[in-house]
Amino acid sequence: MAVKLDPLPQTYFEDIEVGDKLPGFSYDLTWTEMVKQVSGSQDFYAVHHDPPFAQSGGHSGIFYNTGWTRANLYRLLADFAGPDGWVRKLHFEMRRMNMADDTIVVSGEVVGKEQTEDGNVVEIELSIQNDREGMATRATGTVLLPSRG
Amino acid sequence: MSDTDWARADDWEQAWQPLIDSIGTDFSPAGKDAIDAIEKGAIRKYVEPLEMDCPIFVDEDVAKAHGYEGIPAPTSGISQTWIETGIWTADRDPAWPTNDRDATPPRPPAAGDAIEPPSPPTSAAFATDIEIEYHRDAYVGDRLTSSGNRLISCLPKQTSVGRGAFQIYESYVHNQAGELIATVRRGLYSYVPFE
Repeated sequence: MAVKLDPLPQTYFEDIEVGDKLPGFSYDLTWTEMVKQVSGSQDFYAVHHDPPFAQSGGHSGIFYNTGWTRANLYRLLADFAGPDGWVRKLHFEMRRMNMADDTIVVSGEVVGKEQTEDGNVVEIELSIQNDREGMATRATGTVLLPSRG
Repeated sequence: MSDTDWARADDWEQAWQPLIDSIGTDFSPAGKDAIDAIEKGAIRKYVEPLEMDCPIFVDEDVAKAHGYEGIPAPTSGISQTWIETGIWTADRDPAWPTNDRDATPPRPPAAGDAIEPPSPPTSAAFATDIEIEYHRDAYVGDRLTSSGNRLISCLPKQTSVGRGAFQIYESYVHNQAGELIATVRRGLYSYVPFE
């Protein structure tokens, strides 16, 4: 596979301000994507692929797993950081499930920026919301960005 | 008398004191190796359902042009997918020993020195939050090792679902050179539900 996107988009520390919105993304969750996600993440716990098993545990059906939640938040941070940035920390709380037939929106906002001994640190608040239950996940992330200089 | 009767006592919080006294203890310091080294095809299968389209995860030339040693694995998989120990290998018992409808495979063997934290018996638990600190990239060809189950905090608390305690455990992921890749802190609430 050869994918060429040169130059890749890059965010620089000097160009962002507290209050900036990250270019989030949205997509529909399908049953096929759920199966692909189970295979891709190698998370074969039955609540993520076996509806009767999930229902026996009090859930309304199978739901997307923790790794998927983490990866969507990471995708937003990594896309924002660009190829020369670095995702240093991610913290998230899972409040509601995301399930097949949901449409999700992953979004974020810059809430802090500081130059430290570790580099150009940017703090970001993130969330995953779906059209069935609203806020599903709240998160905070820390990225390091390069300088233009 | 049930082994969860401690949750009915007036001083039920005392049942958690042995675990509180163990804060700082690592209950599983030995490492468990991932079943495979990170493979390029595994990364493709990981990013595809997520529509994660940054080319550094699939194109080595692009990755190296941006200072990476090779194709990096998305770090979001470091605490799970890239440290998977597999459901079955030839030296293990059958993964599904029964034909029960909801049979689940046993957990992979724990590291040799793992011990159970001294918490009172509970019958339910759920994950509350996860924090991951990333220290360096892992690359195609790296074989990672997960270790540690260090108790960071324990807070007994009665909630709307029962009596139990919020706990945070810390673990670590290293590469084959012994370099620290990530520090992972998992929060959970284990409890005895109200009747």
